Amino acid sequence: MICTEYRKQLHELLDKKSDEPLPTIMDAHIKSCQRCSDYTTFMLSLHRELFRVPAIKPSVDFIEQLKSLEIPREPIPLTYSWKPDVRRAAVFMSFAVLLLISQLLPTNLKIFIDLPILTIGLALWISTMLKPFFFTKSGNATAR
Amino acid sequence: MTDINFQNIIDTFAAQVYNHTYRMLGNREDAEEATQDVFVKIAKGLGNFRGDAKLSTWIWRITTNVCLTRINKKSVKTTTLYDDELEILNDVDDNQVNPERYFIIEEEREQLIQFISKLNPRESAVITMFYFDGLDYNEISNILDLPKGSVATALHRGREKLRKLLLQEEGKEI
Repeated sequence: MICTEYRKQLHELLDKKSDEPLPTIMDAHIKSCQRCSDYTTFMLSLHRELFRVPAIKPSVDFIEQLKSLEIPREPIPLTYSWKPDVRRAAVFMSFAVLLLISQLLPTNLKIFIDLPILTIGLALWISTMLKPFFFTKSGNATAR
Repeated sequence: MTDINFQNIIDTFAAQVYNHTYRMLGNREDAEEATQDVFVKIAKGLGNFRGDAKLSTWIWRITTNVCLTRINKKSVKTTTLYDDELEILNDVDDNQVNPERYFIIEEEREQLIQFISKLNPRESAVITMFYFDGLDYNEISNILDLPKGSVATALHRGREKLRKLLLQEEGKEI
């Protein structure tokens, strides 16, 4: 076994985070190669030490500061208001009323009224559903 | 998934996120700023978190990205050790030092921690996640969006650079 191959395999062993002894072929190599033997001692020591490094804890004050963080939410579009939604709802309601009234008409007339009402109503519904994807995000208002 | 709220996330992850940012960035001031950035991003994104990934994976991803962004922004000012600079360290003679002499003194441990923040950003991230956050290959690969082979390479190179840096440091003392 050559040194580069040995070192590659040593790293792979370290990656497994296990305490398995070195395979025989690797063990045989370090018995005949002082540099790799030292390398192994060093790497095992480094590996163990890295696991032993104590965690650094944030101060209690910092955690409190995080908890009281003023979170800037996604900007509320300046163009947003409740009015368009109310208008849309009113349009839906009027379509529904028209549909109900059309039920009183004779069948041959009903088709000419129901079809456009349903088509426009469906288009409005689709546009409402797609609104979140196209809604403007301009503006700089924030909220907690 | 029902119990995800911002305060619970702070209670559960703040210490881990802080430790991770400290290890990657190397000082308290940057770690605090980065941790704050991470939690702002979490708070903003929590509503859109769909649970496709584990919550912890999502948080680690944000944390690592925040750290990498900060490192990249500051890379001109800091002393990040890149591959070409490693060549200089290759001159260090392994035989000059006793390999078992390391990590006895607290000061040397502190030195090791500082060296981690001097690795290149990817290696620093992988070493931090592997050793300090207790994540495995799969999780690291998922978080960094890298193939497992690249995670392994970064880990091996990171360890190798740490070894060379420590040997160089020891060489100065001899």
